Amino acid sequence: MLNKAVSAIALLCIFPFAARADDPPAKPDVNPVDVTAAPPAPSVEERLRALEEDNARLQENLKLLREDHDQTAARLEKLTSQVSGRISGYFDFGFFYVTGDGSGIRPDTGHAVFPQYSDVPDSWVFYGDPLATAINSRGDPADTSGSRAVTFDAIHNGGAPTFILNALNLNLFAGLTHHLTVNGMIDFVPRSRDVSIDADSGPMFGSTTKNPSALGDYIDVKLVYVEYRIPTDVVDISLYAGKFDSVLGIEYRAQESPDRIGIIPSLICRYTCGRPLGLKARFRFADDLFVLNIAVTNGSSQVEFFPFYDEIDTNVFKSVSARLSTKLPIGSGLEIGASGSFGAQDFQTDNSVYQWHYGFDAHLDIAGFDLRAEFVQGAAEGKDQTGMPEDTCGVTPCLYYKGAYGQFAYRLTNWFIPYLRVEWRNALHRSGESFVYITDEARVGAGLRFDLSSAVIFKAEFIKNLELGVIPTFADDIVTSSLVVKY
Amino acid sequence: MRTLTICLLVFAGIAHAESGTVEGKVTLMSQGVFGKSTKGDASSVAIVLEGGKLAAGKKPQANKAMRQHERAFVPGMIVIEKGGTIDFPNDDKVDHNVFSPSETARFDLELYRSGTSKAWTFNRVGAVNVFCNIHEEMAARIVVVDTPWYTTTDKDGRFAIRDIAPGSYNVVAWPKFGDPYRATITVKAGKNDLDLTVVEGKRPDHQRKDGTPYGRYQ
Repeated sequence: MLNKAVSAIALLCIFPFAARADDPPAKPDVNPVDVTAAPPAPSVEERLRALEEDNARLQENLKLLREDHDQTAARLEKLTSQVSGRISGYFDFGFFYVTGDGSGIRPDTGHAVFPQYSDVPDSWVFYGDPLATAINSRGDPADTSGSRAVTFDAIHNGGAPTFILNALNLNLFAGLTHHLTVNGMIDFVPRSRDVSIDADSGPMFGSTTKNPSALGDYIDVKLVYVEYRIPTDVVDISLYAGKFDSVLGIEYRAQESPDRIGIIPSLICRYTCGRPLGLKARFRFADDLFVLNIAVTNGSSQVEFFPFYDEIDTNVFKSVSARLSTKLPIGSGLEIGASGSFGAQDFQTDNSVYQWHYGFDAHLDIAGFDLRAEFVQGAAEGKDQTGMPEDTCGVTPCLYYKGAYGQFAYRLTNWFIPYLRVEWRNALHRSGESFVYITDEARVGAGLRFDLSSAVIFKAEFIKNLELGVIPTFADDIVTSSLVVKY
Repeated sequence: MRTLTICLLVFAGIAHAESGTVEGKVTLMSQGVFGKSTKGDASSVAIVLEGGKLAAGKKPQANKAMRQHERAFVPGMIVIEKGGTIDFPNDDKVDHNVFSPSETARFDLELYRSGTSKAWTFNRVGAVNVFCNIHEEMAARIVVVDTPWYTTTDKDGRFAIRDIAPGSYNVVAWPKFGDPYRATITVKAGKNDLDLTVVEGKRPDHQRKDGTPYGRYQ
């Protein structure tokens, strides 16, 4: 034991010398330090004073940093709360094919199906639905054929398979304060232009089609409104002025391509998806348990290319509309709503000719399922010519309709959604001896939606249009697709 | 060694015997159009006794989770100790973007898809309002504390905080939304009763993370 200890001490003593033997030669000390001359250690009082000085300096620095931070935070708050802007939108490109001649109507040749309308020329008595062959989210039909009520034929290609740039959509937003904002939405719509042709003169310059309404590229101002929000402890109030979203039903919320699960609008969207112009107030109670919308507008909530929409009013009686909804805590929420509107009929001058609409809607989002259903019924009462039978609507056109749809979608994954929609619409639309449209139509649609990323969506859809009752079946089925890129 | 163990046990027993428990019930009210009314579900009110200190060098508590489920944060209220981490798993089949503009913890977890999760560590004491940048209706609150004495209420509003050293404390009751309720309590050894009435505010009027409103589909 003793020997080991001695050996260890010996090693400890020898090792430093052994290591030093391998080191380079030591340099001579040029300024040898006299350890005895080292300054004395500071006293406790001196160290305390130094610490106090350090502390005071750090406190001062902290105070300055706090001031800097407060100023930066205030500036950031001011920047984010007062003026902000955003430009966004989407690009919608598609490919479609519609069977038949691309239109959803056929003339009742020889009054074979509806002899009761023999007072109207048979080529102006139509069965089917002029908007049943819509091929994109804008609701543009592939062709309106000889339609006399829906005359704007934005695509007009006879249903032939074609690529189409549906729209370049632009959203503009400016926040003036937390509560005052300006919103706009514009579609740039690239379409064929052939202004040398009119309805009467027929095709020119080798064109094979007669195209009286080929405007060419056009701009569709969908929304422009100012919104003022008034939050209170009890209710959130939003006031709107301008051209804003409809308050009828729920489909208006999901009619833009990225928002719509499928591609084309429902058969009843024409009555509820329009953007009227006027004033609106929205009240949200109890964390959206109840929401009330009230609007006073020039015209109804029918879509712009349907002949019952009047952005600039031509009569004194404005349209009043409202929707009351409740959202129950089931899944992401079960929303149930009732809505209606009443006013003087659009596109005419008589204040005593009314139109009215009412409907019910429901939306449930639960466990990946998205279920929507909507029913709407209404009428534009029209006006008969003196001495003519009732409901001939010779002075002012009339419309009686009801319709519904149910849509079922399931998010299999966060990027893949198959969906199915079943619809039905029954309507009679007449304008004296100018035209009659008789619709009794159902349709079934199925499609797939792929959210390829948060910005890129691809959708493909097949629609089977089914003529009901005495209306003969004809070819007007749709295959359409849409590639949407958001920005 | 045996003597030391016995001493420690005796000391712990004495300490436990001298500690207090605060128990009680929160009556949760909400402000409606026609006045205040009692809410049926009084869960998720955070009760915090300020003044206690977390043990120095204490290991951070295990991660807690605030899930995104059916377009809601579940639970809608979490109390976490300073330095603790909360996971935010996305259980939905839609994308979410969790963020907070609160000064206590400004963070942005960016957009992420279902089946994935992101986390944030909370290093400052206070309340944190949490939102989703996509879905305006999604809102929750996190309360970061530096005291060991806290809890959340059950559905009936009942709560209990145990092992509190006797003394006077500030009690703060945080509803999911709205201002906190504050009071003081003198805790004595044994059981201490504390019944509170807390008014829950409405969901905070908030903007998206870039300071702009959520858009017209509200």
